[in-house]
Amino acid sequence: MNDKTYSLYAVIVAVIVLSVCAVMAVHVSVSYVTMKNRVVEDTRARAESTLASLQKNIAGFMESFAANEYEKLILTEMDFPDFHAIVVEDYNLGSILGMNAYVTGKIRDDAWRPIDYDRDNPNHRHVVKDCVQKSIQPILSSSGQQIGSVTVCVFGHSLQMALRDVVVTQGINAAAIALLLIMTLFYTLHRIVLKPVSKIARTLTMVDPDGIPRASVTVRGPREISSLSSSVNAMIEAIRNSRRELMEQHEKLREERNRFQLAVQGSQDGLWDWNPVTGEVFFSDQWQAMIGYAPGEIGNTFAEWSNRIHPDDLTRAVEAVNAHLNGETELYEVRHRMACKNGAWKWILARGKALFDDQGKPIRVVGFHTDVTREVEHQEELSEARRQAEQASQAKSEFLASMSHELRTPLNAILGFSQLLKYDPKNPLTPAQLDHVESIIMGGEHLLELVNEILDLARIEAKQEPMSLEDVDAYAVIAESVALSAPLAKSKNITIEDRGGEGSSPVLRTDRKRFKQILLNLLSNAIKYNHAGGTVTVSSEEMDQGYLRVRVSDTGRGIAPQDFNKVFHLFQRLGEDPAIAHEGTGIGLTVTKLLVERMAGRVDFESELGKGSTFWFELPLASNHEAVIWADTLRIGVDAIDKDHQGIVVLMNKASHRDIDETDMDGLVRQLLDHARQHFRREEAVMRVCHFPDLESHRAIHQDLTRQIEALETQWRQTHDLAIVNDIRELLRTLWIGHVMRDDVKISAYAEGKSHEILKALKGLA
Amino acid sequence: MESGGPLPAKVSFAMNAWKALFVISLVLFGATAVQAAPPAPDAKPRLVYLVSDLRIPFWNVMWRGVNARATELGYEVTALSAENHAKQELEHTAKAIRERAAGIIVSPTNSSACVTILKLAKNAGVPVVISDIGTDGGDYVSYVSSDNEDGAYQIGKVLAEQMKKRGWRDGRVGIIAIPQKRANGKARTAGFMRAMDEAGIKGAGLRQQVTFSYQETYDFAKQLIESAPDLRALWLQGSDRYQGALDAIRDTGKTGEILLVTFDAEPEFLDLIPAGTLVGAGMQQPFLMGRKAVDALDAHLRGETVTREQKLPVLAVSPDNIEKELPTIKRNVLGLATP
Repeated sequence: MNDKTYSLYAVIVAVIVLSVCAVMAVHVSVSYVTMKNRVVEDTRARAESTLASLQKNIAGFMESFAANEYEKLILTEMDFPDFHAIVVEDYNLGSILGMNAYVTGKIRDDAWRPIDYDRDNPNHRHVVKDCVQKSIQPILSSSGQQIGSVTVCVFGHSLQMALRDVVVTQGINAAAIALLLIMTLFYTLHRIVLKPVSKIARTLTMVDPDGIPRASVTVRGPREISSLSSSVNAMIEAIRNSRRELMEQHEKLREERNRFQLAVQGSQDGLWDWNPVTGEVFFSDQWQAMIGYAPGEIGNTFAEWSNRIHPDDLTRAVEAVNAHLNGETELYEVRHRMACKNGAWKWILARGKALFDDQGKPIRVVGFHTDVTREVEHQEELSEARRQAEQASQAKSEFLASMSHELRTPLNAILGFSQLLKYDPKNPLTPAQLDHVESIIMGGEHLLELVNEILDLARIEAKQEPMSLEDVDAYAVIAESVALSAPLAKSKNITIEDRGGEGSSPVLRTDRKRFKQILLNLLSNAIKYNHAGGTVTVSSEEMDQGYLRVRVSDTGRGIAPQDFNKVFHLFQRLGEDPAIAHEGTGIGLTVTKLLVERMAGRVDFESELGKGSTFWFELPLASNHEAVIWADTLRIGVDAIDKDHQGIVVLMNKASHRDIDETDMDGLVRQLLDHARQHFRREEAVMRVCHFPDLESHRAIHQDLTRQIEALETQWRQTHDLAIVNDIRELLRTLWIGHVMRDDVKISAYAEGKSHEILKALKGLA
Repeated sequence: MESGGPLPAKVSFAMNAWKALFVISLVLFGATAVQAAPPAPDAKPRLVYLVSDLRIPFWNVMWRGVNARATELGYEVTALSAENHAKQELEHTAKAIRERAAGIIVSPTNSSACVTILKLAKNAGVPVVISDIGTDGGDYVSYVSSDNEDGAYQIGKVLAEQMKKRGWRDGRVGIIAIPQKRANGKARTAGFMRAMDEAGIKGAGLRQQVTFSYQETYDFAKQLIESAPDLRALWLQGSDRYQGALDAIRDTGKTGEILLVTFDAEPEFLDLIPAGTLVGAGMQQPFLMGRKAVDALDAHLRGETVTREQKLPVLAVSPDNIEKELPTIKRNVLGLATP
């Protein structure tokens, strides 16, 4: 037992004893004082009364010389123990006896018994002379003459006796009462409180190996004790239940842990557990094995992680950590490279989550390292492939543009001279020659059309086609386009229905010429791929998102589902109908798609084989201020950067359509962010070779944008909430475009005459 | 211890001759006492008899007994009568002490006053013998008194015998008593009732005298007679107011039907008892008491051991024995026999 503990019994007994003794002591003291005061007062009153009585009663006896009678009175009065002596001087009897006075009376002996007063005894005289309180009264005869005197000497004997009695009697009584009270109180407390409490305590000490009482408390007693017992039993039961639940939870936890360990082992992820307070980090064996280390070969400090991060990734990784610890991101997630034991680099996807205390301070961060090297390498391969494809496409476009110019000049010459041959009245052609010339002209015109479309496509793909934005009356353009297509339709016995001309016309903010080109392309295809007697229907509809959807439907043969993904590919002419193959170039839909997307729109189709197709495109209304259309106003004058910006704008606009499915949006977001990151790197590379003075601050802006975009990306991946996409788009539309208009535009001044260096830098970056 | 009321006439003789003799004797001895002179250095030892009142026959008879016995023993004796005054009694006491009396015989005015006498005598070293009336306290050599209880018992037996003679078996007895707070009163009642119990006679009531007057005695007697039709006797614990009782019996028409007995005696009882007017009386012996008192004091002065308390018998006189007891009555009761 602890020395500081004490017995409840001891305390109760001590309290009872002390309390009762204190009460009894007070009682005795009060009784003592009360008795003292009362006895003193009684003695005083008795003395006065006695003296007065004696003074009155003795006179008669003294006059009748009945000395014995008044001596009996004195003896009677001496019954009062406080009288030490009563002495009478009798002048009458004294005169008979030949003396001044006959002196008689009573006085106390040592045993406090009254004896005769002896005037010749010095002790007697001394008592009368020096007693504590002495009262003398004359005794007068019936005639008023003094015939004697009476003296009463008071000694506080009764006071002494009374006080002694008080001390003794009250002491004995108090002791007896105290003992009775103590025994009664203790017995009562023992029966009512201590015994049940002790039983409860004993029951609570008889515990099982888990420290839980084996039995319930069974005590009977007053309501409070019963309530305590019930509460204790309820507590015991609650503890048992808690233990049972705890065991179940423990079992579940163990299963979960096993499952988790299996999962971790199966995923080959490395677990890390960082304590930001102490700086210690736990690295699982798998974590260490991931970068080639044996278990225990790596310490447990933060530096073990940070020192192994690729220098180019370190800042970003640390910033990601800080962003999460600062509460800016829901989860910590970053990709970075880590140095392996053998010196190689591995791409790691680091993910984790922090626990915070009540003050918001991080107290623990736990997460995984996933080896994504293969994935990254695959992505890089894909990116490289895409880049190469883009380069090839670019080269192709450049080649086609160049070649188209080179082709068109001689082609125009061929057509011109063919026309001269055909219509030269001076030298009319033979029918055979005319037939040949017309074949030349028809082939040449087709070739020229092909060349023109290729040239147009090349300019669009090369992003060299300027956009001239204006408010455009949609119905007017539709009607115009229908009218222009009418001859062709008529020649094929096809009816065109324009259903978009009623009501007020929607107004588009777009390039009128390109809008019309798009419409004409679709009308042309609808006529081409229709059958004789068929119908082409044009309609339009304002969409909720601030777009105008224009539909061009035909009653042709339709498109097989397996060909859907080829529809917008270059030189894809579906159906392989030799009858109509010669009428198309396979470029129109590609151009259409490029133009629509350049104008912040989108194009698609629905088709049913044998019944026809409906191609539609959407362009932003003038009232739509969210759509961003790449225009000359956004051009900064550095082609590479402008192309990047243009690409971002296109992706942004794609992402603005809310009816795309989640998978497409997922890819779109990834594409947009990859594009943005890549652009930032390319832009910084350009600025570097151009010796742009504000490179660092510019980079800081890029980093901030990147961090914000990545945070939104993380949220998107966690929630797939389209509102996040809106946030990304809004972020790019406001911050990024503002950045372009405000900061990027400054680059052009430093880029003049450095196109070669820029190209080289960008190639090196790739 | 007194024999009757506060100032009772102890003895009264019915016969004139006896009265004359008594008065002559009283004058003679009283004058002697008053005129006593201080003793000469070689004179006889002197005794002083302090008496309440020599005019009372009982004390006078007792003085005669004292004087006779003292003279026989060779003492000079003086009687100092206080005339029933306490002051005078104290003065006589002081005088006796002052004159160096060899011893004092005292028949005090009352038992309380006796205490002071004893105290003064003790302080002076004078031995004291008390005769008849006792004391409430103090030191004394001996106390000589009558045996009141036995006397009353004897007189009760006399009454029972007289009632038996008359064939009265169922009659009751009324008592006119002296105050029962007095020891002699209690003793007399106790002795008488013991005799009644033995005879099977029941009491009919008790009245205690206060004034000791004739009228009081008459009234008490009448009340007892009227309240108890079967009353056959009255017992008077004193003797001097016997006439009141006789008159009440007569006035209630019970003469001859109610007997009368007394304690103490009057001289005329020597006539009334033989005549049957009284059927009995318990008579103390004052002459003998005086003699015994002197004997005790003498023995003390001679250094002998003295009986501290002497109770002398009371004569139970009835018509049947008065003749026989007459010499004793004359000498010890009436003091008519001189030494």
